[in-house]
Amino acid sequence: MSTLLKVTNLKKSFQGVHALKDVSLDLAEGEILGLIGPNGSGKSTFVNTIAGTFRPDGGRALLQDVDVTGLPTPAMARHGVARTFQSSRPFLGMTVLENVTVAALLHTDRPAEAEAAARECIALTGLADCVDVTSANLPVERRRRLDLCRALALKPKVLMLDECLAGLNPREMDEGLDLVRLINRTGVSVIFIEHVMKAVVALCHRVVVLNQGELLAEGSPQAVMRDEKVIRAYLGGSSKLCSTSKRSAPATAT
Amino acid sequence: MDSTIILQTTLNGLMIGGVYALVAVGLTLIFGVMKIVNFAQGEFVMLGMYVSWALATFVGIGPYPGLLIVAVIMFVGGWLTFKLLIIRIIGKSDEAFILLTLGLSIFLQNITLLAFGADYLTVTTTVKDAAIRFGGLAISLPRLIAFGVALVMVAALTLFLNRTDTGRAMRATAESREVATLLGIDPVSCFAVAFGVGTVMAGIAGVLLTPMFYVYPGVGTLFNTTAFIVVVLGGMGSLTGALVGGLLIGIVEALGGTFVSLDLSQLFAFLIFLAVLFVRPSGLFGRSA
Amino acid sequence: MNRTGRIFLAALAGAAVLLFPVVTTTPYYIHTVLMVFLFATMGLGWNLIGGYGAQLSLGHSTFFAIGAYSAVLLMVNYEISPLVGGIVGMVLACGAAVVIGLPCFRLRGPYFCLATIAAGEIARILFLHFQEFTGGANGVPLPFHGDDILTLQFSSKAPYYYLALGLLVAVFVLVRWMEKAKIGRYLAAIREDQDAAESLGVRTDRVKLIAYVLSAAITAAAGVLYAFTVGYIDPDGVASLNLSIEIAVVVIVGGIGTLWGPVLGATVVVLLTELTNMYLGSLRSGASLVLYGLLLIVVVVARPKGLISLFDRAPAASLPKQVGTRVHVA
Repeated sequence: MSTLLKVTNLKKSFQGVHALKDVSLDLAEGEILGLIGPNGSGKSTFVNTIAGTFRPDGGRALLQDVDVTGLPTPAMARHGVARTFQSSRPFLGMTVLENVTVAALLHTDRPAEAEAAARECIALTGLADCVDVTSANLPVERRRRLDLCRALALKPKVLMLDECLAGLNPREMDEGLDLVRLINRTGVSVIFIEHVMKAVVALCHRVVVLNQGELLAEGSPQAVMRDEKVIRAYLGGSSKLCSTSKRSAPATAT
Repeated sequence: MDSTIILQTTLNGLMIGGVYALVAVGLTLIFGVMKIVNFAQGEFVMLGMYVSWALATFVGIGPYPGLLIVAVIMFVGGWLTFKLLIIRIIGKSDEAFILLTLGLSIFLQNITLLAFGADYLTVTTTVKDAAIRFGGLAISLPRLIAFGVALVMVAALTLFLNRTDTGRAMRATAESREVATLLGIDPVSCFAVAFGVGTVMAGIAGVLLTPMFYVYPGVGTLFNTTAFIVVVLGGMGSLTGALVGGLLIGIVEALGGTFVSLDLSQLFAFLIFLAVLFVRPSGLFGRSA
Repeated sequence: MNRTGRIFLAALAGAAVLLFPVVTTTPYYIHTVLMVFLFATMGLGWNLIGGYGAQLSLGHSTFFAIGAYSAVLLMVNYEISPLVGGIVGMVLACGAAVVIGLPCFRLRGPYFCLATIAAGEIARILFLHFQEFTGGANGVPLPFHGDDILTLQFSSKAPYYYLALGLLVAVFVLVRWMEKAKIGRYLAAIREDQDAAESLGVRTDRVKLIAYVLSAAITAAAGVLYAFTVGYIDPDGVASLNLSIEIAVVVIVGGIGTLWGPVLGATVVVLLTELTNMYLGSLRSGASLVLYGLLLIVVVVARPKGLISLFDRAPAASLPKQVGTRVHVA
């Protein structure tokens, strides 16, 4: 597999606090990469810095050997780096179709064409029954789908999902994982941030662990979970690992 | 160029700048705590002038002895405005606040016009024409008093924000509404106090201006635009910024009016404003965005 | 109401508007309706940036004045037809919009709104100051040279009425097209959530700038027509903060971000102003503005979607039953 996104020595600090110290990682083409770590370890900062919300203080990001370091958000989307937000952010006053059409307009100037493309994405993400529903009236599970659907309509190369399963029950979470797999199979590489370890293990090809803005471990999900350093970081930092492990095991993915 | 004229002009500008600072401090306080722009701030200055004029004309209490009475009336007025109007749109967009206060500004200006007519009213005080002279320079006493009281008010407000529980609660609310709520602070009552105090600042500025400005319904618009410029120049939400910005704008207007052209005096303030937007939108004392 | 009924009513309204100057000969009535057209046009233009783009402008008189002064001065001083001068004015207005918009659209917060006020005041001060060129506070009267479409001069009000109506219809059609086009959808996204829009590849500063520039051009065109209708311009008339506010209020009262809102708002606001001036104006000045301020306060507090929302009928489609009840999420 060839490298799609190559991040080297990424640095970002806020008023003296180093949120990202020196993070380097590669994302291979077609890969689902899990990005985990205790609260405040820099996962969201990583996504926001790559996506252009923050300008990095140092380091490089190469997308298929094109330097995309520090580009503004819209430019990143145009280069094929899409992201979803930690809290779902649909355009509340718009219908599902209108929401997705905005994204689809990235590749055409004709609203009719964009709408047709949007309908395809909507069908793929299982939102066909609420095409004309105003998104403010959608329940959380549908909003999460809409987030994914909008990102998909951008036809991205890289999709960064920041806790895209938050607020879902175990059954909905499984469906969400299926959806991410489906998107991945259309040729989109995924960076997947999630607290629920079961989801990470079930989905990701490879996992990178961040702790206090630094790369702590990297490897297969199973190997990383057994890593002493990782366990210590989680117990020292936050009890997320313990609390999530208490959740009822989701039914096996279909 | 005669250095005495330059000095005298600078001095005049500095004095009127003190009053600008006072109006702007009220505006920046409201912005800092509530994150809204009050477009009726100039009309509160105007109302302060009318109350002061009414006290002098009908009751016989001059502007300076009546300062405290005007302050109390203005606080009640500001608090009522908050309870009757502003509170209804808390949580809505910035635009809603701007439009509401804009509507209030138009309403207040013209209801005053209906009530008192467009005539230019004046208040006579014993100090009106008095001046202090030294070394060829002169400062008119009303200007000096206005400058002095303005500085004292800004200092008092700073103390209030730093030393009292209410003040600290307001600063916490300004920092982050969510965090303040977690600390058990009621943001809405902080908003009410901020709005009330902001109104008082404008009203006091009005009182200080009555001995040297005509009192008429449209007088507030002069101070509205200037106050915005001062607040952005100083950095939105910064008290020090409002003070320094006010003095700077006062001096710039005075120098521009004297040495370039009187009808262009406001132009320089606006140009400075646009320059700040281009170069450093966070203002002189604001945190960079 | 069924479709035939609606078409019938629309035809009736269209006929009434077209025949109005034929039926009435009172210039004042024609002028009043003409002003409704002009404000509706400017409202539609303002709405592009203020409504669809949610960037509150309180400085649109800048563009109105640039349009009016360009066309009038070019004609008075150089005998250039206002049809050419008007285009020059529109181009200059677009330039001014770029200068104001470029620094502001990078920023969040009330900066744009404050900058538009500053720009308007700068324009007014400059028009007042350069007396040799602009006539200063005395303004510029347009000497009448007889009816001629090339100089936009007519001895009766009716031609201006139809020109204003034509401009309104043209702008209305343009805005209606834009609503559905890419730019309209992008503006709607920006209004809803700027960060989310950017994450979908929308270059928000550029989109806002395009909307602002178009908005400026439309306002300048209205300024040209106004100048030649009235035959006289002065800084306090065409470059005042009050005019800027009035343009914004028309849209806010009618319904911000809607197609028919500016038309309804212009009708209500202009007629209300004229009526109060007619009946109360002799009493005291300011009565119409008191109402104006009250109207703005009441609309913002009680009907933020404007008077047009009184006509809302179709309820939005809702979720199919089996999907479940509404869930509120943070």
